[in-house]
Amino acid sequence: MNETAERSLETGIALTSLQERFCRLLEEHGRVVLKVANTYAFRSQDRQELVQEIHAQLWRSFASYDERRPFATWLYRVALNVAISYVRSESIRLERTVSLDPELGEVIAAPAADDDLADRQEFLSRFIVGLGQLDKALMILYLEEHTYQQISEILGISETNVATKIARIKQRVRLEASKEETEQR
Amino acid sequence: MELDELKAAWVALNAKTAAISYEVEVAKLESAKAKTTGFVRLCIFEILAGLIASIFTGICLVSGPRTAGFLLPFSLLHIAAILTIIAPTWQLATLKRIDYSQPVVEIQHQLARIMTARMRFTQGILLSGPLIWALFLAAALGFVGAKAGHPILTGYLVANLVFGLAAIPMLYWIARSIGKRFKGADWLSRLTDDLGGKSLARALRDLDEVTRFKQSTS
Repeated sequence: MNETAERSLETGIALTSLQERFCRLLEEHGRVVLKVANTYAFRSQDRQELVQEIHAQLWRSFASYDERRPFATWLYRVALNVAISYVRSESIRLERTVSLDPELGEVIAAPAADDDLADRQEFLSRFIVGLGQLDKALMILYLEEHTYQQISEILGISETNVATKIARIKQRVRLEASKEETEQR
Repeated sequence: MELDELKAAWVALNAKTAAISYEVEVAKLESAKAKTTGFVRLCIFEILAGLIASIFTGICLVSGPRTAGFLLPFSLLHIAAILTIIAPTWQLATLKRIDYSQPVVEIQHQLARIMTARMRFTQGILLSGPLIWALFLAAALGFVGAKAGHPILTGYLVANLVFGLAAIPMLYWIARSIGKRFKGADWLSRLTDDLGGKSLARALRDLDEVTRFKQSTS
């Protein structure tokens, strides 16, 4: 076998192992992608498109992934960056054709076991829709039980800033929940 | 209700994702990786158009008559053509350098800055269209005048330039008035948004959101 053929074979093997490693890691952690897509895209078609875009970007960036660092952090960063950029560009298109309405969202949740949980799901969906794109990212990370330090690393803001923003969101949740309760009475 | 009480609702909201068997197809990844976005295609088109325009104006400058009536407007057109190469090249190069695995706020800040610059550039190009046309007309008249051996009509030229300048606020006003009512073809909406500054306002709003998110600790 000549040197060129040997080299291309080596490259091919390296690429296959890289693909295998990528697929394995993504199959292990990939549900994060679905959660991010569910939070940022309302319609099922948009969600599928967003998942594809995130996968493509993850694959594009995978060669530069440093294995000494946690894969989840890397994955969250890419997924959130793609999702926010996607929503910013898509919202322009949607704004021109149809009004942005949370009702566009199709129910992707499993039927709630009890009424209280169903109410909370509904409240949470409405609350998330009303948040800014970066606050949505913060909310996902908090609800996914990440520590302030992990959130700070993914978003790139200080831990103090994370704590302040979480406190604000908590306050907003209380306020909106009590407002809804008052309206219902 | 407390935020922590919503964690169970969050799990329920994403319940279906847990049931889906997660499979990734490499072939699909490869094709998606190769796909170019509309932004990239538009930048490439602008660079090519700018290149053609700068070559054309460059050739005209070198081979045209050595009169002020011809050289001055064509030099301005040549500069404008070069600018239409520089701006999208910078945008494209900055976009290509962006590493999506970097912290979210930093990347979003960079993207918002590119978008703002892009919208400023697009609005500038669209609004200066009539002025560029007036300059082109001036250069053509300068060329004809020089060939015919008599100076061109200064009054006619000045009138065209004044029209080109006056058309800028006029176009801006028309785009804003139409943009408010118009809900039709996507390309036309995009054009009126870009021309009337709606796209720029949107980009600035995004940039402002990221900046505030980054800074606010109080």
